[in-house]
Amino acid sequence: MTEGVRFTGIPSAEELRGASGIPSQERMKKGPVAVIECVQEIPCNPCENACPFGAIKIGDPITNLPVLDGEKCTGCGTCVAMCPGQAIFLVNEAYSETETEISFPFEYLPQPETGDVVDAVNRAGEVVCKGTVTKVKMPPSYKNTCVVTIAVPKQYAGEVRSMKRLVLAESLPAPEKRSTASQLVCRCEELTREDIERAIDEGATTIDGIKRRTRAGMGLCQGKTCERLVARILSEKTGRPLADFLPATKRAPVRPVQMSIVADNCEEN
Amino acid sequence: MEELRVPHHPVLGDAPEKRQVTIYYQGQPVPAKEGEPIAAALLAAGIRAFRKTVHRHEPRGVFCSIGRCTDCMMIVNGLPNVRTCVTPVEDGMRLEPQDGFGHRELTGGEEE
Amino acid sequence: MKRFRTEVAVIGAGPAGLCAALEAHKLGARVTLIDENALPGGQLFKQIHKFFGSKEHLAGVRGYEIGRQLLKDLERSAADVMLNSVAYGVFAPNTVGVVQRGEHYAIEAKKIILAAGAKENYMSFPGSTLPGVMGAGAAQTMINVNRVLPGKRIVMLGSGNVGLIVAYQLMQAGASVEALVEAAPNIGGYGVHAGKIRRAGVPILTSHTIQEVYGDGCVEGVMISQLDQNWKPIPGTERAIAADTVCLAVGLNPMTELAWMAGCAFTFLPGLGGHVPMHDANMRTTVPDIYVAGDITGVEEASSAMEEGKLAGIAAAASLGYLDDAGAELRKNEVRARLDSLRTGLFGEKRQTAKQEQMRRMEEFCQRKDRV
Repeated sequence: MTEGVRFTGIPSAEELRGASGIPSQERMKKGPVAVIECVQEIPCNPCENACPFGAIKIGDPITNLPVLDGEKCTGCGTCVAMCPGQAIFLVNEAYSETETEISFPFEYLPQPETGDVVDAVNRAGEVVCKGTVTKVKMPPSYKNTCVVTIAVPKQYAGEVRSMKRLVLAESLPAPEKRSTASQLVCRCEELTREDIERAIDEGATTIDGIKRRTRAGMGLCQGKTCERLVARILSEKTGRPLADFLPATKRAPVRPVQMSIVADNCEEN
Repeated sequence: MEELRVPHHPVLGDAPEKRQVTIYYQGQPVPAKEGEPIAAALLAAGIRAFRKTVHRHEPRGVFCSIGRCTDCMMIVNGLPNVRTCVTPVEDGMRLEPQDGFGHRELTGGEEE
Repeated sequence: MKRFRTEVAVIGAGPAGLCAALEAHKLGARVTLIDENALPGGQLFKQIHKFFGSKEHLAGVRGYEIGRQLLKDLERSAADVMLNSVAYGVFAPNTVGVVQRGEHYAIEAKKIILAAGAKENYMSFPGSTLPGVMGAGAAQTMINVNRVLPGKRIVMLGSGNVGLIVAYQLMQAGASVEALVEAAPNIGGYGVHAGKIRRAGVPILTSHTIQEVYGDGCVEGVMISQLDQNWKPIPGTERAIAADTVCLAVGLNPMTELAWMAGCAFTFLPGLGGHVPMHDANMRTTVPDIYVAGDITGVEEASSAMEEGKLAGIAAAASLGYLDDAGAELRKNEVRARLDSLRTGLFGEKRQTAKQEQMRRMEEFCQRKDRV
């Protein structure tokens, strides 16, 4: 139940097997080809328009999963840059006897250079092997997405889908906790959940009622931050649905404005 | 201190050139880029606590960044309750962290 | 106070408001577009990823590029644009109160289009007020608009598209995302967005929550713990992570204050972010001269906000006589078809169902009113 893209962000082997964007094994052997790892029905079809050879079909509705025609695909890689979900890769099994080329979008700095040896990572970001950068492409038609190609040992070709960023902030050990900060529901008036609950115990049954008793929502943000939390506490404590709790009465000004500007100017009227 | 400005970006490219100005946080000069919000300049300088609250005197900083929550208020050129996330820097601007409601300087304020 | 009249006042120059203003202006209406910021565009300029949808929705184009295009269109138009202008209230009859650079305006409009957008939800835990805890949108504004990182080591709370996309963009700006924490047992947003950050090595911890954020004066550490099937923390699973920034991506809710003030009837739809002003197929509310568009009608995304804006703009202009009924219907139906196609599939269907329910309640409301 915890496998698959919905749970991990990584398509499971089964999801990939059934995907209509994955080329056949025979086609893979012939040379560079798009591998579309798009397994969720989302409203999106730029890949269809991006392909200059009509190899990707989505049709109507645009939530259809892309279908790849491996014979039409030339492995040009345009779709790799144009997929907003970055779910398309290029795999070139014909690269050499021992290595396969993998191309993927890489929108981080610094960009690698051809010839660099980098850490090749799998779909979970784990380093699986070294890869040699064979191409770094970013023509204007890619719209600011850099596509990097690396060559990796053949046995890792099915796993490698990106490379590790070249510069990373170092992870630190967690510091010790020295103090406990407040837990505030209303940030402006500095009220806790207990303050809200007490108001309900005292008879408040609406957001306005709580506002009058506690000032929750009366601060400078005018309830923009706490109102929904107050509604939820009310709903939990009274057992009534959230729909019952209307926001506090809205009055001008709905944004902080300097009252002197509004006041001074009203006299003319 | 770690570099917090983002001069280069893989998608957005290099940050547009902007004139450097100086603002003063508790009297100390802080470099800022013309036109950027006060809050951005302070965060870039590693300053994160902008004020102390009225009742609990707890620190607050940037929270919503679009002028909704008012957590990032400071005393700016003598005027309290200024939302620093939506107020652009000006050369020579004086910033004081606001403690509680803050107070308005009777002289030297920007207004009138 | 300065008074002036306009035909269509649009409040909010985000994707919805911009499209509404442009569309109404194109049809010949006199338009005044009001926004509190120094630049129009709303949140488009912080969206640096390529949009989904299809060609008609500008799919594959990055949000800020769409923003630039809309701004160009606006500059070329003769629409009246009031920036740095806070619309602080809507008053009867059809008057918007605005403060701009110390000046007070009362703008009387024949039609008002409210496109105020949405605001981020807040979540409360010990330390949720510490400097360094902020909305995911706040962090996104800092990195993509102001080009400043709010911190270097981030913990993201929430796996909806906002949490996933902002986590990715924080890394693009050079930060490290230590973990993405999600209370539900599954990821909320698109799998492809999750896939991007997984490949970058970010652990997505489902069935986890932030128990506490701690630090001396600002965020230094985050205590997380695992949740059981009843969403209760499992004792003994607490774990501390070193972080200087915690981003909350726990949903958005519509900015409806002005619609409440104007007397619009509301309905409650959790799928759209809570109480939303009811509207008909022309985006007209229960107050005849007031229209709504974009996230104020229920939280969706910029693509649908733009379409709703166009719909409201066309409808408002048509109601002023700038378009005959047949011409208006033709244009509106094109927009409606594009809107429908954005509300399909695994994720869109829920919104489509909520939107249809909204429409049903609106019809019911109107029938009841007619009977009275």
